[in-house]
Amino acid sequence: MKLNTQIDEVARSASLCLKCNMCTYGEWPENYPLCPLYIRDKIYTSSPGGLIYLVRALLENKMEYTSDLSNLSYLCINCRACDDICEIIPIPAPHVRPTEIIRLLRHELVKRSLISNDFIKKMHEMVKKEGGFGKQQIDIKIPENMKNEDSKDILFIEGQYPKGQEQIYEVALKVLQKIGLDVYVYRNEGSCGADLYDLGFFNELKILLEKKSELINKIVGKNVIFIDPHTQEFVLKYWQQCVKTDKKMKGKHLSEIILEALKGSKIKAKKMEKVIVSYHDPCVLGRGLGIYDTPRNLVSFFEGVTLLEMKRNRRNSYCCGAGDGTRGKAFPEFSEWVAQERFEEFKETGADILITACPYCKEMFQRAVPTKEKTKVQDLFEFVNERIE
Amino acid sequence: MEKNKKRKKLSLLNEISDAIGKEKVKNDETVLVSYGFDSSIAPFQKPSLVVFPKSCEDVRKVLILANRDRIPITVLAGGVNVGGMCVPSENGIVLDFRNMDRILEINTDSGYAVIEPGVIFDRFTAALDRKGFKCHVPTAPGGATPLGNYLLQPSGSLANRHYDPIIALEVVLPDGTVFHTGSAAYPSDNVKYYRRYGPFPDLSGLLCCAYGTLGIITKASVRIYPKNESSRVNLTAFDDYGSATKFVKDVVGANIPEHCIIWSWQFYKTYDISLENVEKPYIPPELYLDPFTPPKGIPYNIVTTMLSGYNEVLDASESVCAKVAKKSGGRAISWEELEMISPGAARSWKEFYLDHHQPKMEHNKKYGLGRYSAWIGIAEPKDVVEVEKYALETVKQLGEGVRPICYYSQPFDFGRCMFLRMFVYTDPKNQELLNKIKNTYTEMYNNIMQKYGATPERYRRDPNMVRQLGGYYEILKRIKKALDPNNILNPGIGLFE
Repeated sequence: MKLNTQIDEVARSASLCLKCNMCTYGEWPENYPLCPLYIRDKIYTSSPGGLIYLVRALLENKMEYTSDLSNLSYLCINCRACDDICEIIPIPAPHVRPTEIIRLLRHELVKRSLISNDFIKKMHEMVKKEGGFGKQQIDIKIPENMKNEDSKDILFIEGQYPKGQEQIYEVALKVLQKIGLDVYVYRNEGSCGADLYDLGFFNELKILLEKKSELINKIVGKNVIFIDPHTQEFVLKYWQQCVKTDKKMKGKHLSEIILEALKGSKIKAKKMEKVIVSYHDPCVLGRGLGIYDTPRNLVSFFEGVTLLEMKRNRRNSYCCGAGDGTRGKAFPEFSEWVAQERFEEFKETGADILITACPYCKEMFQRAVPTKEKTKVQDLFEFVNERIE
Repeated sequence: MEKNKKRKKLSLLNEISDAIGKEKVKNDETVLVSYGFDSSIAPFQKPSLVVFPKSCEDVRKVLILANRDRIPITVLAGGVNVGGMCVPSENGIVLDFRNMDRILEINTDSGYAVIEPGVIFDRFTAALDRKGFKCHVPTAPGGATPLGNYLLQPSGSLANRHYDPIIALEVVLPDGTVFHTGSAAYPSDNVKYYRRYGPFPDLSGLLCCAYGTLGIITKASVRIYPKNESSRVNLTAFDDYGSATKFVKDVVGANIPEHCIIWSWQFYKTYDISLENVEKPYIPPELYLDPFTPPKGIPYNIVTTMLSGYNEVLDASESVCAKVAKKSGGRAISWEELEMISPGAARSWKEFYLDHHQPKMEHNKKYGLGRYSAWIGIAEPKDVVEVEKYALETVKQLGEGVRPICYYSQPFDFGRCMFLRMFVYTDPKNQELLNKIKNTYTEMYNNIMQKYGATPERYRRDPNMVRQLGGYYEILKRIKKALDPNNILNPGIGLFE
């Protein structure tokens, strides 16, 4: 979706929803339920289609914007299952996906000061004041050899991150050191914009991206490495819209770099005890960026590692409940319920470790699962770092 | 007056909540609005309550209260509706059956399944697949319900040999009466759902094509069929619909296929719509050409002939199909050739016929082209060829805004009559054009009825369609009076006033 798309432009798309509810479940013949909100409520209104019909109702003046719409729209956790399934809504211009229509709805509610959730309201106030979470940067020690701005590659680290995620970034730097890649660590100030986009803070996003214009045009064309899939997706897809030349944003997820290094023998795998793992597909890494195989191939590269799939995997995967990280705080009960359901599915596999490749997923699972189970959750880079020399 | 209305509404909400549990009753504005319309051209009408029953008893309790207060009830089996037949009445109650979605029995011995109204095709076909069985699959999306579809006399994958999928029903009337039809009516401790007809009048039939106006169905048995040793689809290309019809009539008359469908070229080309690049979806440009003139290499019609049974029989059947194709002026095409003509159709038809389920999204993409408006005519085989020409020409005259013009056609009941569904996609915001289409369709029905004795397949929210039936309608009204004297069952569609 173009960042300047307006809600009235999606009137045609919204009016074509068939109410078929197929946006809530996965591929035949398993037909696994995928939409967390719909699983919880089991009413049409609490489905992507239901929210789209509410947008249609607003555009056709069948109802007024109210704060009741706010919670419902933010309870959509942004897992993108519907985006991946529905092939009706994007056909007419402006070719939007269901969650993009829901974001446009949020934006209209934000414009009208109709946010009902206290956490999101506070976030909006802060963003308005400080402009995309101010100048916050990640608080980790950057090795000296990763401070050279002229390096060939850039490791992009988001500044707006929840406390507790530092460990993942530190480990990622260690892995990169082992690979010996000539990389410059760019610590973004505040937000890249992904969370503002998801929350419908479009006015603030516009200001943020204008401020970042110089940076955007500086990094375009360079090889950018990402750890957080949310940042990766937003930078590659939406910063691109702010590029003033015909250069393309280029980027890879760190898992792709590590796998290449292992295959090219730039790093060596250690011999470790046998372990059974299961991989949780982060929604944005999978559905957003289409990266399903690399993390699996990476995990399976190590001798003694057995990978067992959860019943819902790849395109049919189920969210951890974190959304972009904000849902876990805005709707903790709901998010934890989603995470617990997913963790139960992991337990059904009989695996020892649940691996994920998104800092928000790890944080969400750690929060929702019982204390004695917390050590079972690992980030992909932590898992890899333990296994390479 | 307004206060009184509000009090009454609140009291009904409380009473229904007390009767069946408040978690099953919703009256939030967001819920009511989202149930007020659908993807058909039916007008927006906001209900006052949406109820999610979990049992026949829940339905019975709601009906008794609604009947007492004469509150209109509209039923949604799954809610997919392109015909505008289940849009609620203003201030009425919607009964949404999505939480009554159990597959109660799959009887592979007799060949039927007992299901609740909320069971969707995707779950049903998957469950049958695991048992080596299949069911009648329509071109509706996999999220539609078998019961909702079958009660309308469906037009899907098995209709030429197995015309009517409904067997026995469990029905609730507004006064709270619950009754069963067919073999399920017998007072046995071991109630069976295997038989529909006899020894008394067929009450299942009374409920079919009643659009929820004569009783609310809470359980049904439907016909299912073994997948057999093998299934194959024979593909035959034709340059004109008349030859395709001749072929279909011949092979069906010889009891060769389990089912045949004649696909128009603009219909099967919709399967090639691609969203590989979401920002620039691929829409085949052929969809906007003259519907009578396909480009070179694109057959005007392709007939899919589904064969199912023992391999020895299928080998012989394929030879017969090739022979009849030649005789009828058609030519057999291979799957490889179909891949070249329409890769999307090749992909979809394999799923549709060989896996016996709706392709996940292949069926649905075409709905993104615009507001869907369908016209369905049923005629004897000798007449349907003229009906196709007339309908295609008439719809074409509606202009460039009514494109593409798709159709499919198939023999019902061993070819006693031919079904022809034509459908178009238009700008959903162009109300004037939508009205023009509606009026043209009415005129088309009248013309084919006068000229060929052809009939419409379904009611279209046009009361005149039933009013013109004279004595038939009078009898129907008497039945309605007996079953639903207060006319609370789906009155919004205007079948009874």
